[in-house]
Amino acid sequence: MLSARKLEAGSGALKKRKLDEKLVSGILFVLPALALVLVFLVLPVIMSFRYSLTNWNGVSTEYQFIGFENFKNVIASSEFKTLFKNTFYLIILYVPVLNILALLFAVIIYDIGKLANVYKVILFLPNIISMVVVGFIWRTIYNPATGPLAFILDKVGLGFLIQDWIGQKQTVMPALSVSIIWFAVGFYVLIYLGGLSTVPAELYEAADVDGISWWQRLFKITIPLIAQSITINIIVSTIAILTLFDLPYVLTQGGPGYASQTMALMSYQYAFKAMSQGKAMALAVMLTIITILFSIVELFFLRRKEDY
Amino acid sequence: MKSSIKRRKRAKVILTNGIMILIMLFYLLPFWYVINNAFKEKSYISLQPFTIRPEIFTFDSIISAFEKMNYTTTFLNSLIVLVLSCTIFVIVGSMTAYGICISGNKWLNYLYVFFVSLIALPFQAAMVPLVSLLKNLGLSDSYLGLALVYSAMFMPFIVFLYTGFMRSLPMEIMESARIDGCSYFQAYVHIYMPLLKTITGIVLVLRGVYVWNDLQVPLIVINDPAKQTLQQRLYVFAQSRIGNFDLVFAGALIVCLPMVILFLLMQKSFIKGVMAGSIKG
Repeated sequence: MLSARKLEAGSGALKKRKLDEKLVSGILFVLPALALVLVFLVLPVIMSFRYSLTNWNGVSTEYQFIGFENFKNVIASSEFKTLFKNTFYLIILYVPVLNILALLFAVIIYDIGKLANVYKVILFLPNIISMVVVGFIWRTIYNPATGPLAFILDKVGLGFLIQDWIGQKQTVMPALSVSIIWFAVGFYVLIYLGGLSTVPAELYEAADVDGISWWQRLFKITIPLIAQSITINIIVSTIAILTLFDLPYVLTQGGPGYASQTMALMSYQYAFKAMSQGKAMALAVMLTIITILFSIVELFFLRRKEDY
Repeated sequence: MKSSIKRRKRAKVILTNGIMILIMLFYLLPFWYVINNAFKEKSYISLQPFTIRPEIFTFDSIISAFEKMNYTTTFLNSLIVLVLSCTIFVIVGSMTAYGICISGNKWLNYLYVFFVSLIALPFQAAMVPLVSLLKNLGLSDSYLGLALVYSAMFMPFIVFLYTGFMRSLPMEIMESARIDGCSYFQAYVHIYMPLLKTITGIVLVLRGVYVWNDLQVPLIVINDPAKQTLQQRLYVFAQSRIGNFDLVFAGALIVCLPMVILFLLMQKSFIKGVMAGSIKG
């Protein structure tokens, strides 16, 4: 009786020691990543939030809390309205157009036969060359005097359409969006293709027997079944466009004036061109909050759709 | 009846292929535009943007861009940053996933949730304080500084990928290895590392290409022209010569060539990697 209890206690201790050992090794294994992320990501983000409420200039050790002064300055600035408009232009126009195009390409490529791989490679190619290169390519394409677009339009007798696409306020956002779509669409096509590959082929075979039309097939079978990929793509492309920097920086630098300025670009220019760190961090904080809000809202709405 | 459906289907496939090929030709036009103009004298570029003849073919702009961009040094800079970053991605990322998976502890699971919640943070949120932080740590103008910034920026996503993959592996292998006297570290190196090849490929494709092509981070970390990465050098080089199309095109071509060649050689792995990474995401 006594010895049985002793034995039980002994095995409990052994179990506990084994668990502790497991936990300790587990902690040791996660420590490097934790340290890395805390020092180079979490700490600077917290600093951004904190310093956005101060008049810190990025270098000095002295600063004072000034409340929401930086935020007020950003919102009151002449460029803020354009910034706001451009952000919503990209979310409401660019994201849907990009996703519809990518989905159409994916659906077409999915049952096109032998050449599917060639199309995938071609569509993904712009993702492999850098956005710096893409930016310079499109800068020369849009040049109204020497560019190839003007050359082609002139050749086919549409010369009257030639204009300074990235040099005027009315056309710069559509022009920028076109170049971003050219760059990005291949990536989203691949994600949609990944989603399509999970749809059971029997469903399509059954639909073929029933003589269902292409559009019915798209809306009744494909879209409901790849709802998850659509969710992912919309969230990923929204976050990506909100934080996109390289391509607009090379293509338009936010110009002409502030016409194609985005929050990510403006934040950089506040910090390193205008040297107003406070405004840069205030804007970055707003961008962070908007990014997180959008991910949560989209996730919420699209998750509910997926239940069908 | 059946053969007529088949025939109709065949005709449809041929038609869609025809339309797709036309679209693809338009899609590729910007590439052709850059390639053929990189080998042409400047005066012909705006007059004949899409055609090249042997008489006007020249290597002059390529050679000149190669020299003026200090290509060899710049290429090596980019390569060092890429190798450093990817080493940290793979080792630290897989270690973390392993740590989370072996313990089965709820706090380490919360840590995983914490990592995942950081994925949506934009780089801009950390940008300004990062500059002074790196300066204080003596890491500004250094390859290691760049690699550490990339690693911290992508670690949440990388941990997410590795953990998702690791969870599909049976943990019993480790239990039996432990009984055989293997330490947790030995089990990680000898048993799990080899099993992680697929997901490591995905991490490298998804994040390695980004590091190689990125401009934003070098722009704020590197000031010393001798340490600039390829993209940064191309930006400075082309920005100051925007009127000299021949040099801009030649520079753009030699900068994107290495990655394009790698992509064309390993296109299957690249495409599989992106697709698989997304299914897991």
